[in-house]
Amino acid sequence: MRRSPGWRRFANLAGAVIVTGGVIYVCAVGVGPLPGLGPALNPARGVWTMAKDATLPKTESLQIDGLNQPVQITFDKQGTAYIHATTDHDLFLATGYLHATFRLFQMDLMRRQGEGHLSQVVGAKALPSDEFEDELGLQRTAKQEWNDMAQDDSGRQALLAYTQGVNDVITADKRSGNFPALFKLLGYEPNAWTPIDSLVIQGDMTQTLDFDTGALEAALLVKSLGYQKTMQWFPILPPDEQHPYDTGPYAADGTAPIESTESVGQAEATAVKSLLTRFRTFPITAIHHGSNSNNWAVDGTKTASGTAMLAGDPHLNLTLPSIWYQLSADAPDYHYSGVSIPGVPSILIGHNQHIAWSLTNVQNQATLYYKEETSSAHPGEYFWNGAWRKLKQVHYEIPVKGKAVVPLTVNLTVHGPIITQDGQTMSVDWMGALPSPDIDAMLNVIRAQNFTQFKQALSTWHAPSQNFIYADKAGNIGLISAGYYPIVKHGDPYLPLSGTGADDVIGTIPYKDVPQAYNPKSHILFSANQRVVGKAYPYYIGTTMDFFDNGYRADEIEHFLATHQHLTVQDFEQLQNDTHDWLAGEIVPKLEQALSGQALTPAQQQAANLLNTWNGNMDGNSAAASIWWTFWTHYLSDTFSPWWNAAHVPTKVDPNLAIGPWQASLNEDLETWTLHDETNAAFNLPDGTRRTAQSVMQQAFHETVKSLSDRLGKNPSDWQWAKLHARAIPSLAQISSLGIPPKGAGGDRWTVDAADGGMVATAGPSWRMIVDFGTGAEAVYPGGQSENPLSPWYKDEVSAWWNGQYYPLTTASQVEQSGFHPTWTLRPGAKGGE
Amino acid sequence: MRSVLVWTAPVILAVALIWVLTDLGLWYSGTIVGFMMAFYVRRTWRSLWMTWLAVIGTWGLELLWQAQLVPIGEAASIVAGIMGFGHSSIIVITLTLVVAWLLGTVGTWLGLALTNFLPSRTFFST
Repeated sequence: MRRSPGWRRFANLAGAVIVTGGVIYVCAVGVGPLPGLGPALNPARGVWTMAKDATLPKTESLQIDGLNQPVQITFDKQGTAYIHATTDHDLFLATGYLHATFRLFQMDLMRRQGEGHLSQVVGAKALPSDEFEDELGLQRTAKQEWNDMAQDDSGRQALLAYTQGVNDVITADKRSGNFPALFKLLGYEPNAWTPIDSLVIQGDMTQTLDFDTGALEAALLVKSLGYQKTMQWFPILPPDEQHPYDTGPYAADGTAPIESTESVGQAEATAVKSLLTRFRTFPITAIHHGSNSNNWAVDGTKTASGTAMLAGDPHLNLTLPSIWYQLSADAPDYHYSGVSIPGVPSILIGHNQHIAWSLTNVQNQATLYYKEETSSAHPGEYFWNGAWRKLKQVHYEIPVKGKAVVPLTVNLTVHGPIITQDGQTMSVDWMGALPSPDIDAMLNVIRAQNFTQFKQALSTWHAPSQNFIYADKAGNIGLISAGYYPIVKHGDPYLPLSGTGADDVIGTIPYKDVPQAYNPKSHILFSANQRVVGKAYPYYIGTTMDFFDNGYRADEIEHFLATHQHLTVQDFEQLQNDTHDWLAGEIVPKLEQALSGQALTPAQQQAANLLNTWNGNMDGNSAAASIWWTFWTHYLSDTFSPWWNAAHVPTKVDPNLAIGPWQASLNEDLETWTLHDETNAAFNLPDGTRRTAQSVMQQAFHETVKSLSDRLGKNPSDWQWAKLHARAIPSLAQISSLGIPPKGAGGDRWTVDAADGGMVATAGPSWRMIVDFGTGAEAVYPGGQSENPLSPWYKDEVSAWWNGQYYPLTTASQVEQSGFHPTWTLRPGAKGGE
Repeated sequence: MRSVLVWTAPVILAVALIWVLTDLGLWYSGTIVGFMMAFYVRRTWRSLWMTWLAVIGTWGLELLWQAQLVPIGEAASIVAGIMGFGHSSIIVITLTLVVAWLLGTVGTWLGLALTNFLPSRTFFST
């Protein structure tokens, strides 16, 4: 080998050191959007382990630390796990083990979101969300909940055992390098699980269902439209007829009538706009966007089996993997079957040997905003109850991938965290920030044998407020809307309140007075996010704008259940998959009246004919469905847009303020005026030009035909609804290739089989369950048990869900009689149990 | 015979070493082996070719071996989707082998650059 000159050897060495270091560094940590390809593509421990992990479980024995006794877990064809444990401790440990085995990445993502640690793994783009979560304080609440639990508390014991089960998997994965592939692609490993993490995930769900911006949006409407029009068009009580399930009589002791504020100042509007602009950057689950759900129950007088029946389909943002993990369990104190949330040790919806239950969101107002009085003369202080008070400060450090740690100081008033100081210092008092022993409550629900115990169990459930429907083996049915309903001593709670102490929360509606019903004379009970009480209910619980549903699904459910006898599981299946639009059934005849005698073009006449012969079902192949929906959208816009434009309603700041079918109040107004008040002044133009419901309907219909012709061709029979409307199931990690892309589908936001979230619906029935105490139970959800995209259990239930099919909710012994029933026997490991 | 052994034995040893080290999570074992190979062989192209054979061979063999048991091609397709390469499994598999090649190459280069400072040796120069 010929020797190079000395300087060249040094240069060569320097080059080699630099390039080698650079390559190793880039391979280790990645560059740009690419992950560290060295560890990620390592054939032994990189993403390739996804293939091995995707293989279905086989019958085997596993050593697990922390168990007291052996536990058996049998899997059915869909991956539903049947746990048989001889101690309650082992049941929860096995649940943690299962969740972590099949959903560890999802669990880590959910705890990171609630704890404000998303930026650490996805970079600075998640920083606004992390900062807000730290302000809102899910972790502070979780810590307080944990500290409030007594040593022998059953929830505490369940959480500890569950945590051990999760950490058994994390430890084993760390040893074998078998963490789910997305950890490898993001270049990190999960930290050990703690009970606080589980409580934070409980907080995530509370936030998704309960943290809302209604009061902020109302403030912008008052600022632009004026107080009178806002309260006229966004009233507290709905103008249309609804079907509250609790029809009274109500407690005599209510609260004093609400005192109106009537104005919103410029500083307040600036703060509100700043907040709403900020909130738009957050993940969709951070703010309650009006998800819908259904549940109903009938007693034995209405069923073919002669026993009570119950159905439930909670509507949430649909994701792959699903929010749900299905499991059944047998342990000394627990015998249940249902769905759990990965990260939380108990099921949330399901049945035991005696009772069945399901949930819908109450939609009451649980978020209050306070205008805090501050002054440059009193830095670090706020004025409350006649004196300047020190702001309490909490300090956070937010780790950001590839960047320096970001320090954050959260200022707390007596109402809650300060979330903006732009224009007006504003804090938020959110019921989800108050400790709520939901896990204890749920464990008591799961063990309940009758309505008394069920109701007692829910007395400690505070947030998110939920309509818990109930049916039991003895034939009883019940419904109770458990949760906190804040009562303020003064002011308009649907607008930002004064922070000086005058408008503080002075309590919540007593549990005995919260909406509830038991064995009603009608023999049916149902909730579908409609206002659950009648107009005589003596407490304020929220406005029509505050996400109470229009009640069209409730109308449909009430009509179906009231008009059917000898109900069967098949009837309930039909109702859960029903795509009949109640509002269309009311309005289309009025439209036909408006069009009669009008000169119509051939296309308009054909479109009118399609509506005349339409059954009101939003089927994917229905052209009339497209005409109806487009008509209603135009009708809303033609009625209200002139007012919005004249008042400069800031729809760019908050697109939720724009006019569209998502505005529950406006739908109810227009429905009511069209049916009963065709000359309402709102139909007129702001300049005084007179119009009526009929003339605006005619205008909207002409626009509808033109718009559909432009979009879908000249022939109205080609305007199938599925060409306009689709459902999609995105991936939780927002990776398009891991989700299910939009596919033309029926339904709309008001059908029982709800399709929510726009013309590409990404929210809807996240779980459909039917329990007949006479013949059995069945269920389905749009997903699969495993988060591994390569697993046969990743999305295997989607097809059945899409087609309205169900799987039986069987027992372990029934599964064991089937051909496929791999069983894990978990045996106590070296460290044994506690 | 001797020359065949002189060529193949180090490569087989390198394959075994890389296999064991990658199994332990040391994804940069190709760099280590390339570095060692440079010291052992001390001739630029020969060390590079032997390193490439060892690193690409090991990572490729590991994938082939796993493919007998589990759907490696589908895993590659999913990873391609996540990385934004559509569903082309071949891109991810190629990328994996390119990473192996790169790691081996820089290790060998570093080794050769250091051997330039050592006394000459004629072990492989025949």
